[in-house]
Amino acid sequence: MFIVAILVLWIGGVGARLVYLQVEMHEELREKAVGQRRDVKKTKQLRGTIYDRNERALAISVRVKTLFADATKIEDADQTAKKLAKTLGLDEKKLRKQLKEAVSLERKFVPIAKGLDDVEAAEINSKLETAGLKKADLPRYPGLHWRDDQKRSYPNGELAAHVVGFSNAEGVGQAGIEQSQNDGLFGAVIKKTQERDRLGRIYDEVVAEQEAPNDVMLTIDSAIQYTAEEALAKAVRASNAKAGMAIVINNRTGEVLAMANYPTFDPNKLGGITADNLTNRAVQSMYSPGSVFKLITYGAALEKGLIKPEARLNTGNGTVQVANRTFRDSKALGETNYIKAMAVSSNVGAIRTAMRVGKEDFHAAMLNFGLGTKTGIELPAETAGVVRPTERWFGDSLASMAIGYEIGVSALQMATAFATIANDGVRIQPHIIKEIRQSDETPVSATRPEKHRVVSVETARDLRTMLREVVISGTGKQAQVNGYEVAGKTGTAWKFDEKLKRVNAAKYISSFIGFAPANDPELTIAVVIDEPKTGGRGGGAVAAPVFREIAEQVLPNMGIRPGQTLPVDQLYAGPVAMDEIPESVGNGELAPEGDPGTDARPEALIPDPIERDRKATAAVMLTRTPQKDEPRPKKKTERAAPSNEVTRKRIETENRN
Amino acid sequence: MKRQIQRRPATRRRPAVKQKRRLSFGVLALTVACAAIVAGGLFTVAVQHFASMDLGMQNSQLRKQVEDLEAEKRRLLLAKEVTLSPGEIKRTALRLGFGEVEAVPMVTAVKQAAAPEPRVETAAQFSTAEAQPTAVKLAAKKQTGEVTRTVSAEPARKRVAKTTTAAVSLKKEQPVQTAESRPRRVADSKPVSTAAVAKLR
Repeated sequence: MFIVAILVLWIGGVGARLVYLQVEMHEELREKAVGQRRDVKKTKQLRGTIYDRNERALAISVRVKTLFADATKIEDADQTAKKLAKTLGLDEKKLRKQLKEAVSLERKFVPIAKGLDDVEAAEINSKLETAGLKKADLPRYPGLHWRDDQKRSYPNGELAAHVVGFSNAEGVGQAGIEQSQNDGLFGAVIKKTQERDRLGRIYDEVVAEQEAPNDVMLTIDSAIQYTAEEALAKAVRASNAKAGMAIVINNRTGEVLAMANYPTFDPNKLGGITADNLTNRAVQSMYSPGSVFKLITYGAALEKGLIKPEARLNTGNGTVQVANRTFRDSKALGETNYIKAMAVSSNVGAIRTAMRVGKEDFHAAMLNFGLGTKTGIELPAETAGVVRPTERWFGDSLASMAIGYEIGVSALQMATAFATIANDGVRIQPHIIKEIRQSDETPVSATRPEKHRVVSVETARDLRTMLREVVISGTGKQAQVNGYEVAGKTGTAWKFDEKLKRVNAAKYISSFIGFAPANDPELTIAVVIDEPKTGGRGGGAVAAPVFREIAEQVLPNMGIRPGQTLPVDQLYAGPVAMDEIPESVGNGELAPEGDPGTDARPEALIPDPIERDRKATAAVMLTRTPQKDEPRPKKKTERAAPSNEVTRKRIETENRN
Repeated sequence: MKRQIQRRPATRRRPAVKQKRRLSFGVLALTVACAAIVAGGLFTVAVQHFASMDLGMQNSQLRKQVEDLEAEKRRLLLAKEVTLSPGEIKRTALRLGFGEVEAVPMVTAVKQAAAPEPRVETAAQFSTAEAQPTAVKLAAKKQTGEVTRTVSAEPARKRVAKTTTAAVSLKKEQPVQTAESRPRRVADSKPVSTAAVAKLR
């Protein structure tokens, strides 16, 4: 009986304990058990890869490991610091201080070493191995753990840096495609729930799947991009310029094959990024295009049927007065035709042509060519440029705009305008993304650019004829490419000075935009040099050689066969040899009040028209070339001739240099 | 009084014992069978449990192996791209002693309206000491690739000999950089490791 009683009591006690443990302590023990075997890991999917058109990776993320310390589990901070310093080659004192501070604050994450690959991690694991320590994960050292991370690498360094951009430590794009396509490239966080046995082996794993990030394939060709960047950098350094841009566009498809900027940066070295070298000037900066804008001027007139390329054009004595401003050519052409007027970049010819087009039609032509609006290219912070509505034009605005002033355009906008003419008058929206696809190469979307006709086929053909003459015998001779016919236009514009808030005659924007082969253009190449200081300042001297260098290497490599030998016909038979006529530069001179000669100093800064009085001015006054027996009337401009002559000679000397 | 123990006849005892034995055997057999079933079930469950654990571990190992291989593939892709980048190729070429030759621009021949009929010479004739061409320009012939010169009849001027090729070519040059200033070396036989790439940051 006694034994039975004892047995009953014993069983009762055990039962009571069981009830207590399994009922009262159920949740607590369950959590403890789960905590022992279950491990929740959060890892981020690798950011999407950016490829060029030939599937060369321009930006790629790789898995790396970060060694961190959980200060709450460190037994001996001094010993740990010593061991880590010896293993990793770190400063022991600094590490000791860091760990002790973390222990006192009970920090659970103290990064020790970042960006280590598997080989380095394995080496560190072997060095930190502590015999007899039972630990589920590596390294087998109290308080130290690994965390999976990723590192963004740009294997080509500076190549296409402005296009590709870069991302920050959190994996968020900060510039370029990395920024504009951040949503698609961004890797979501994946939650992995792992169950481990007592030896730390994972026997069950549940992964909350997320949609994988997309990869982006660009239209950029790495080889063409490199060629453009090298040629541009060389020219900018040689001319001691402030900056430069070069764009290569496929005329048939609107694909941007290269977009180069100088200065540039290496996205692998974020410390070297400054506001100056970060700007993608090709799309984010606007400038006064100067004479390259004559494409629009003559294009508008051709489209209206007002002119024909071979038609006669009287430029008189090389000056034209519009409202209160006198515009000049570098050398008087007298009687010529529109081809030659374009070839030598006659301001008078362009202005007279624009006057015939008229304000409204000229404005419409600018908008039709896509100026004043963004191209829609898939890059951030694109500028739309500035094209003022006609209500805000002054009396001489039409004349200024005809020669590329009083408007703001980006290099991409002008390149697209030229590509339109190269493409028989059809404007194709420029784009830089060819395709977006999943990591298994399944396409998600392909770019379908917009197309619309800007000018007729005949107008485009006539313009190409005129542009060809620029290169054959005009201001763009240095753009000639061995074996290929080239057409294009030079531009040399006084630059708008931000500090002075007006156009500065001492600072230039020199450009050349052209396409090749001229008879069947495949590529349009635009080169813009900002503030060349050494050597020639003209677009023909500074920018055209860059065009040539790019075209010489790119055209053969693209399998574009050389065209016919360049013709040697001379269409111009005027009194002045073609190669002696430098490009006309400048936005005219204000007719001074009272004494016309006092303000015409060579170094005079021409005030920006936008800053001037906005009152409507008198009607356009054109200087007439007097007939043979007609007495020449006395004009104020004649008295200003000596000073302007000085200015003209200075410009000619610079262009010759 | 003596209790009379009535004894049952022997024959009467046997069926009960038999029945009892039969019942005991049956119960025992049933018990054993149930126990066997339970044991078998437990055994099966245990086998399945450990098999699933084992499968889970293998699955986890394979998944990790796949992840590791994909990570390695990416690292190799990165190393390949770094090696094939134009900048790296250029640095390697410079290190090996190659140099870059500037292209000579070709100038188009322009026929002067007032100039007389030009005299055409070949390159062989031009190389003689007597020939002193003056305002010479070069034109490339498409069909034959032969370079010809159109010589004007203007008064002779001293001509400076120059190359006429416009091709860009690489030629072996003496290295111009010292050991300290030469560009970053690339290992000859092994690709650039990601550690090297990591050091760029």
